[in-house]
Amino acid sequence: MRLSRRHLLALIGAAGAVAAAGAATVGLNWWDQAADAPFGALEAEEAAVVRAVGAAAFPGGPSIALHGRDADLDRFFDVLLLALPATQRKLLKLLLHALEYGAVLDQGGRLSALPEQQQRAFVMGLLGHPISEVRGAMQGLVVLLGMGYTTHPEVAPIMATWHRCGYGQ
Amino acid sequence: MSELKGLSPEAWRRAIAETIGPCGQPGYPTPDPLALLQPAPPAAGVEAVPTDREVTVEVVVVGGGPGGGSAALALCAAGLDVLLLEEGPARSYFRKNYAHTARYHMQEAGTMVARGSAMMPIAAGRGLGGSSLVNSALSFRPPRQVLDHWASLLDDPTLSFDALQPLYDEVSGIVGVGITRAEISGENNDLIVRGIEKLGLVGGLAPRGTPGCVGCGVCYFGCPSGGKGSTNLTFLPRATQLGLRIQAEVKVEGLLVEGGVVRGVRAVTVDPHTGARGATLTVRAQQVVLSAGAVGTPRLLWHAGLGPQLGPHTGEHLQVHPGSTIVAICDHEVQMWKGATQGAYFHHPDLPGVLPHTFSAPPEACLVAAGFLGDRWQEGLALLPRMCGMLLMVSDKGEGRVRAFGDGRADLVYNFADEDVDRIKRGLVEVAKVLQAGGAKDLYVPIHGVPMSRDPEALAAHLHDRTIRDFTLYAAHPMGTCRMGARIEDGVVDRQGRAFGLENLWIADASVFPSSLGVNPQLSTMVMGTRVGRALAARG
Repeated sequence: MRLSRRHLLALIGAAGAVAAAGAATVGLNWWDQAADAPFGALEAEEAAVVRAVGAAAFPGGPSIALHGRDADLDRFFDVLLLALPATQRKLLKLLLHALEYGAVLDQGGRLSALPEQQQRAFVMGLLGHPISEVRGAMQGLVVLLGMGYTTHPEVAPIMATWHRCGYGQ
Repeated sequence: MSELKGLSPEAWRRAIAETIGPCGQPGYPTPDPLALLQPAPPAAGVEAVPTDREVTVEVVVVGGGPGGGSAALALCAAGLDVLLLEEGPARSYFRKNYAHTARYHMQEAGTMVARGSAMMPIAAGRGLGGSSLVNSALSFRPPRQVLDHWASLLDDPTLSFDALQPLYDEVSGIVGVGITRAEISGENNDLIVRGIEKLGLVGGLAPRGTPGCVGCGVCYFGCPSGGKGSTNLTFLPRATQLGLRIQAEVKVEGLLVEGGVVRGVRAVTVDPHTGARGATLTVRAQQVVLSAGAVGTPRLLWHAGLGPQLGPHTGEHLQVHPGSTIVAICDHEVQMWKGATQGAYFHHPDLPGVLPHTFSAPPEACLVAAGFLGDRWQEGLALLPRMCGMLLMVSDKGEGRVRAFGDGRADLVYNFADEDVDRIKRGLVEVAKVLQAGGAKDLYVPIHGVPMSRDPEALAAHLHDRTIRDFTLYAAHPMGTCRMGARIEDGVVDRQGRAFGLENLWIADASVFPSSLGVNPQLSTMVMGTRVGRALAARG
């Protein structure tokens, strides 16, 4: 995994904001908004990065059909950012930019524009990166998006079968 | 519990038994669970602060968690006029996901991270009830050796194990501590108990402060059944019945200090939903008790510019009970999220100061910890019903410190001791043996470079050359940052919890512990809160 010094510094900075894996959110019905509704905190380019990470980490399949790219995780993340203090919000947005352009060095294209398999290769590479801060930042981001994925109305009822008080009840 | 090393097996077993206390034995004063399920709502005592105002009380307590709640009860029982201020919400906002919990009930929205040897998130609760809202209520008593060490260190026999047991009995009774009941323990705990029994270790179902627990496995979101004896359902209702006034959703940002004497606090209202700041509240008080926790209290002191005045130990000696986790897959269904969240534990005679107990976390966190993402995401989802887990924490030798960034957020540093890292690794191997003896097969650890293993010895080999920077870390027991001492050269507060460097200032939370406890700190924090409250009241 090749990363420029600038991207690395951005990732390390963001790690402090996301490694806690439990930042803040969540407004009601974040999944139930019109596709063209404006975001509160995200830029369109940043939202595309969130969708790419979601697609890479949470592909649909036999256990849960909903694919991460279709789980409105950009809406979830937008609500989350709005609930965060300004410093953490800036760091998380910085992380998204680092991911978008870090993929150019590693995969030859911006993360949001890559085919899904390459998006996955890039994200999984960061999750296993030898630098702990990079790994921690990516893990934190994926756990945050995982909270969004598992509370999506198409997923929550399935999770509720395992986690009865925690999901859907 | 390092002092346990070298004891005979029988003495060792007796020492461990003492950490459980007499709970569950006939005659122990367990409150009626139904009474706890229908407490006087603490929110009834909450007053509004629509506009800037100033109030005068005898004592102001800053923080509504286990330390502040227990101190407030002791003060009100003595007939003092007490106002308790809490930054978090006046009501509990429990919902079905951890992100929501973090927003409303975690300090700094769950984003506090210590730097140092490695990046380590550190959790601390907020809201009326503090960390007791979002913990699993494990209620061990510290080992005799720890408390006797404190008594010796401070030359104060009232801090000894034997001297403090009546206080532990008292707070255990208020919280409703009892051994996790078998009917709500769940397979995640039962599997561990089977492993413990098979290997002949000391341990079993754990003492918890959850008299009305229904075993729904989501303590860390906030108890949805009201079955947990958290401070908002125990100490605070009792204190409000004795006259305590509570003002939640106000953040204390400074102390009123005149000539080395604390005269009160400055606070501002904070909207729990938006974080927007509103009216100011000035509280003039004869005595000020800080109970914002081992991160929040020194952070406030440093942000207020009072750190140096309170001596060289202010914010120092941060200890956190660091540790690690194993997530394992079984052939049979476990349903990790059905049953008591953390209801089993064991001790290993070769690992003093290491306390392994049940692990549970939201499913997505378990899947990330075990590496089930991307191409393995669906596989991981399918394995969730067969997933079990156990974590361990160590009574740490490593230390860190707490300061405040310019914007008031906590600035945390923690540095691991090599000895602690070694004990974490060795503890993981013993945890692996217990899990496998109980029926688990595949072992996953959230440690970079360590593959899935089916053999504890192979796991040991993989762990051998890993450094702490390879670990995915998390800690939730900050303590020791305003420790008790015999004089200002040794600590921030005296044996009673009174600050050396400023008059009329007291501290009543886990920050006063003189050393790492080695057991979950809730019960001990309540004991210290009660002790400090009574000492203050006794001064008249």
